[in-house]
Amino acid sequence: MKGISRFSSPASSISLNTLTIVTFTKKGNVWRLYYNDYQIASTTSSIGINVNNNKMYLGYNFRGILDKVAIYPFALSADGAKAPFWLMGPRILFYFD
Amino acid sequence: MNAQSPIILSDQIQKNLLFQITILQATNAVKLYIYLKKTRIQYLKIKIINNLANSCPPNRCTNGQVCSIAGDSYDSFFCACRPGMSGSNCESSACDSIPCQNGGTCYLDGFGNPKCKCVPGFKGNRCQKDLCSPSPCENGGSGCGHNSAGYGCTTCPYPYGGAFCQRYGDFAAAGAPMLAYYPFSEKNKLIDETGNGYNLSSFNANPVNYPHMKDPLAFADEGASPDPGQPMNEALVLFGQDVISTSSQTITFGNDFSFSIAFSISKFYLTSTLVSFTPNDLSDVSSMSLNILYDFFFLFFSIFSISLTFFFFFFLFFILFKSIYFF
Repeated sequence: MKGISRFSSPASSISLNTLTIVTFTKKGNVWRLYYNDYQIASTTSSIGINVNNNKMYLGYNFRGILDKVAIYPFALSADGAKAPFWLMGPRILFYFD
Repeated sequence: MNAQSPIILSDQIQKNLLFQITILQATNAVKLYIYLKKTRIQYLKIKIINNLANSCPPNRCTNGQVCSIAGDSYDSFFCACRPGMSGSNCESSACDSIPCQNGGTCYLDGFGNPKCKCVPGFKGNRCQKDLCSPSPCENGGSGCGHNSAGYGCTTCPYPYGGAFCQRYGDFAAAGAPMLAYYPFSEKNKLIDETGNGYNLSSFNANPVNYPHMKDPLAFADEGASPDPGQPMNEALVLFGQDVISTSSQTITFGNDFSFSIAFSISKFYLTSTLVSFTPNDLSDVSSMSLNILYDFFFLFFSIFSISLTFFFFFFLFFILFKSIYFF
């Protein structure tokens, strides 16, 4: 499947100058997006990713601090998928292109 | 000793025993007050010997011995062991029979009683109590252990971390079998305002089973000493126009995987990319990115709100001006 495939959070309340952890996970065909410990979006896609010798780019039009990047060979789970009261504002988008 | 700080000797005085008080060193005039409370005196003898300490031959007592005096004779000096020490050469210690456990060190207090100084992570009279038991790990952490710095938990469940898994958001705790982990180790070193991309030759792109870090989240403490022998735990500061790229590397995504990124954003753009991949042999997609989008509706709402506020004050000013003009 080529082309644009994306899933995103609702307009969320990312705060400036606050440590934030964004995680996306893949378990089988289920993709999930977490904002801190909240699951904010999920989608099902049969997209398979087999990546070797790739480059990873960090921070485009990004002003702030990148603290850590971690890749796990399993799908993390987050306790409490309770959705916060989302406010209008910036949102997080994960996409395949 | 002065009149305001008396020495209470009640614990040392026993019934029907001769008790003697000796002041070995007195450089100034000494007033000795003895208060007897609820005591029946059978024998009381007070003898003042001037400058007793100077009468002790120099270097007479060695090996931790102290010069003392026997009986009430002026010349009857002898060398006595310090409290808690014994033997002809004071070679025996009360600590000999009191082994401290778990690496604790025995010492003698002022009364010669053996005490144990425990290493971090243990306590008790003999350091017998392990602070890892019961487990101090919070939030489901496990594997409490000791090292030279103290004690802590070696495995914390995502996303908790810290010595006792008490901190939220530390996904770098030990035990997490990560494929790769990128602690940014050179704070600001890679920043260049030219706007060009970077190829980070020093970027640690190899999979790292990174050990536990003490304080990985506090940005203010990022410069503090991490675990000995481990890279500094710094953050990478980006100024908007920078693009950081890793050198060619292999990241193998299986059927199941997770990708986490910890960041703090200081300015919103319409689109900010946290991370993107441009792999060369993706089977189904050509790239994938994690972006932060500034919501257009939010932008519109913000502009509308500002405009409304502006027109409100303009209208207010207009009414005020009109009223003043007519009156």
